[in-house]
Parts: sequence; C-alpha cells; structure tokens
Amino acid sequence: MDDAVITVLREHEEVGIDIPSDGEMRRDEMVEYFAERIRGFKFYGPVRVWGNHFFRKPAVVNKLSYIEPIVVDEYLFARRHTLRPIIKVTITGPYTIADWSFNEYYESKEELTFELAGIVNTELRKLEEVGATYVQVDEPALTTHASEMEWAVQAINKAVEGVNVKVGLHVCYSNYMLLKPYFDILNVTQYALEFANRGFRDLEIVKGLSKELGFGVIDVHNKAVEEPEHVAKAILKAMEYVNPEYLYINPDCGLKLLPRDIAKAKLRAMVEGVKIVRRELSKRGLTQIPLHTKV
Amino acid sequence: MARIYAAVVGSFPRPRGLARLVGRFNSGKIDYEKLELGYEKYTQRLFKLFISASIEYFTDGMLRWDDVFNPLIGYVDGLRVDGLYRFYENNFFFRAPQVVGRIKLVGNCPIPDWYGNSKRILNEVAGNSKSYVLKAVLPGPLTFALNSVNEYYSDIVDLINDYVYNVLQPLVKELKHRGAEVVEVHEPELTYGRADSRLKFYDVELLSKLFTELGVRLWLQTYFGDACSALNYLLYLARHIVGVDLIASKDYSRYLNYFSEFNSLAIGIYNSRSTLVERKRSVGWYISRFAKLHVNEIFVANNAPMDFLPEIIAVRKVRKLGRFVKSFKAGGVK
Repeated sequence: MDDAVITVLREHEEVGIDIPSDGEMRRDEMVEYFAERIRGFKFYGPVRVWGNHFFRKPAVVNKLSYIEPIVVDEYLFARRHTLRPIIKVTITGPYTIADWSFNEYYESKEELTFELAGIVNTELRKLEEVGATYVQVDEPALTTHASEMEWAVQAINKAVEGVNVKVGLHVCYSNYMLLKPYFDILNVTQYALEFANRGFRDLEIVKGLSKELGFGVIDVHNKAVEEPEHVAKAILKAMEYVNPEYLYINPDCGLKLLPRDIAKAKLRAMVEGVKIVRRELSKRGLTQIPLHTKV
Repeated sequence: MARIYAAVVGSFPRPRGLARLVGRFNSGKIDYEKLELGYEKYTQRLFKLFISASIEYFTDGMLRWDDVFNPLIGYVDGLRVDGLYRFYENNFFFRAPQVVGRIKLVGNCPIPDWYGNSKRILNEVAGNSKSYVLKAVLPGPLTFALNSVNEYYSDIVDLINDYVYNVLQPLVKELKHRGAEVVEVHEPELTYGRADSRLKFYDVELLSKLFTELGVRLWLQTYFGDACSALNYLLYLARHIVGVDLIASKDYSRYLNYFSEFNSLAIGIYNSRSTLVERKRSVGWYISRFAKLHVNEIFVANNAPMDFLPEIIAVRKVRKLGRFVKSFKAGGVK
C-alpha cells in the first residue's frame, strides 16, 4: 500500500497536480473504510451501486463509537512522501455514511447522522493537530432526500465545528438546485462539484457563490480522455460565474474505476487545460493565490 | 375473500459470482459463451430459490440488467446512453437515456429472447408446473421520459407516445410471442410526484389501452412514493394488476376502501431498502386487512426492486415472504 501511495503521489506530481492526494489507495470504498474503523457496524455483503459495481454496504447494529484515528496515518505518510507543500485528505461525511448504511439501531437517521458527525469531528480535529491544512468532506448523498437537507446541513456543520483548516465539501451526481440554498449556511471553504459528467449543464447554479468552487472538469465514468482545450473552455465558462482566485480545478470525482494509464492521461489533460487558462490569467497579472481556510 | 399469492417484484441482487463473470467478460477475459453459461446457472439458482420458498409470481431477477433502463436503451434508435444519474433517493445510479432523435426499437433487441430463455430454465427447474408465473419487466413510459435527458422532443407527451408505440408495443408483442402472460411495468414516477396530473393520466390511459389491445396482463409497479396520493391514476388501471409500495404509503389505512376498487393488488410490504427482516405479526396485520377487501387477487410482495439489499438479506426476505403467505393461506396466521 505504501508503494501504491508513493506511486500515486509521484504520478500526480509528474503530470503537474498542485495539490495531490494519496489516491485513497488504502481504501476499498468510501463508506466501507470508515465503517470498518468505527465501532458498531456490521457487514452483510455487497450491494450494487451502478452497473456491475458494488460496495459492502454496512449496517449499524449497535451504538457507534470512535476507536482511534482513521486517516491520520494516511495523511502523515502522504505528507512525508510528496514534494508538494499541500495535500488534500478526503474523509466521508456523516450524512453520506448514514445514508449509505442500513440503520438497525438508532431511532432515526437524524440521530445516527449526528452521532457520526461527532465522530467525524473528532477525526478532523486529529488531522488538524498533526498539521493537515486541506480536508475534503465527501457528501455525495447530501441532496438525496430533500426533506432531510435542513438537519443534514447542520450535521455537517457539527462535523466541521471548531476545525480551522480548509474544508472542501464534495457533492456529486446530485441535484445542485437543492444544495444551492445552503451555500452560505454550510461552514465550509469550498464546494467541489461534478460538472463534466453532466456536460457542464447546471453551471449557472454557482452564480453568486461566495465560496470557492472545486470545478469538476474530468468525467471519471468515461474512458475517453478530455482535450486540454475542452477543459480550458469549461474553465473559462466557469469563470463567467466564479472569480479565478476562487476556482480550483479537479476531476468530477474519484478516478478509481478507470484504468491507471487513462486516469493519468486525464489528469495530464486537466493540468494542460489549466495551463492554457493560466497563460490568459497571467496576462491580467493573476499568477497565484494563497490557501484560504475561510472564505 | 381474495386469492392470495406470494410474489417477487423487480430485480434481485446480482450474485457475486455472476458479477465476477460480468466483470471478466467486460474486460475481455472470458468469451460470451462462458458469460451465457453464467447467466443460465444463476437464473436456475434463483428460480430454485423462488420455488423452494413457494413464491408463485416472480421475475428472472433482472440479472442481465444494470438498471431499469439498461440494456434496453442501447437497443433503441434515437437514444444514446448518457452519464450516471442517481436513481431516486438511493445510492444507486443509472445510465440515463439521452434522447437525440425520434425513438424506435431496433430489430435485434435481445430482451424477448432473454425472457424466452428464462422461461425455458423455469420449465426445466419447475418440471413444467403451471403454478409459477414468470413476469417480464420493462420500464414505464413516464419513468422513462422523466429520467431521460431529452434533447429532441419539444413536448414530453410525444416522447411518451413514441416510447409506448415504438418501443413498448413491439417489445410486449415479442414477449407475448415468447410466452409472457404478465409484464411488470415499472412506473415509480406515478407515485414519486414529479409529473403533473395531465402526464399521469395520459400515461395510465396509454398503458391500459396498450395491454388490453395486446391481451397481455399489465402489472403496473409503483414504488418509492405514497400510493394513496396517486389513487386517482392508479384506479384507472383497476382492471390490471397494480403494485403499491406500502412502506412508502404510511397513511394507507385511511384509504383502504379505495383499494377495494382494484381487481388485483400487489402489496409491497417486504422492505427492499432495509436489512431488518419483517416480523410475522406486522406482515400478518397488513395481509389480514387487505384480504378482507373486495379484491380478486392480492399479491404479497417486496415493495421495490431488491438491488438495494445484500443478497443474503434478499434471500432471507424471500424465504420469509413465501413461508408466511403459505401459512396464511393454510389458515395458520390470524
């Protein structure tokens, strides 16, 4: 696993990614991994997510409790092995863990989610203690149940409470119209959203966004490698709504389902697309931005 | 007193062994013949489960389907297979139909042949017994239309119309030709609430007309939504079989009298989205209430496709369901 992480970091650096991650090499799946490390879960077997792809959907069968740091060692290892000053750590958010689990124990999903929010908060504080500066909370399920959004948002705020690092919130394959009303209510620095998969439809939802946008420009469910010019065009389109100093460029979502060579080629295309835009921006005197922890 | 049957609705979890075979086929490691043998083996295994559990109406588990639209949409002219979209409120995603031209079923759609093949397997497993009904499954027009990325039709009614007459009609005819007596049409949109009443009425009217004309029994299956809020539309199909999700219809007891107007009702009481296995007492309570209605047939079933469950739990629920209905019919449950 260590070798796999080092390889991913090198590949990220090689293609020119500014903020790499460890590619979640140690994780089979984003909910499974956390459920295996939190006391109170049980696994009955795999459940289909799409096509021929499955995950071991956990069931909550007892009161949940934090055992020990979950991703702190991952972060420390990645930091020791990258040449980049900043790395991004991903952690699955409380609502998504609750929504993607069977609940056999708690009276309500809300109660379960808030329990998980406390556990995620503990983990985020541990990450901050060891020096993490950029965390992405993954909440792909957030907009799934419109009627639960109010308390789901509060649970995420509980998870990030008192944490003074840059927090990106990743929501993908979702109805962003449901997310938009909460843009200012969620205490996060950035929204990392998927746009390539939907052909950059719905981009107008980020109009007036007062936080950073992590702009998804690479379709991770399609093996065709994007053209850098196509990426640049999409970024320029996003810049009609979001100022460039508030714009981060990323793939739509995790690349794990792609063959490695294609994933790398996609990241390279993304970086090349960014370079095209940067050349334009440098003509305007915009060359770099500081890392915001609060926007 | 209504006749009571045990039934399974929609998909069944694709077994791990079959998923491995599909994965190996997709990456070119095994040939089509080996994959087909896999489908044969796992379909046979599924039918053995249903029969041993005393399930009387069932599907082939939709083991060849990736979601309710695929692979069908790959065999329709005018459609492309678009990106992944969430399937209602689930951590389950489907490849959406992208409508780029006038839609029409292409000639080589294998779905009727797959049905014929499953029917043959069932006959082999059940020794040609007439006690079991194998349902074919197809997506409903409204569900298809509202989950499509429509870039061609200026009026969604035209899209629904073309789907019914250019896709469903030829498919149902072929299915009938292969021996299908009942076709389960999945129409969660009828109860989910995104469509306006004009579209819902149009949908049920077309479906009722189509299946009546073709002489095939329509099993209209709804899920993920409150059936009581859609009774206006569902009652239009009172002559057919109507499947309702009672887990999502919390207030159904207030509307029980309306349910009396149906000829055949499939009551979804085994929750396909929970690992908790239903208790005998609560299931018995449901069935007793519905059995008293002036309905000819009651199908006791799962409330939604079973793809949302681990296989081990789905097997457990199917066994409980069948055993319970059997003992209810024998008078063993009060």
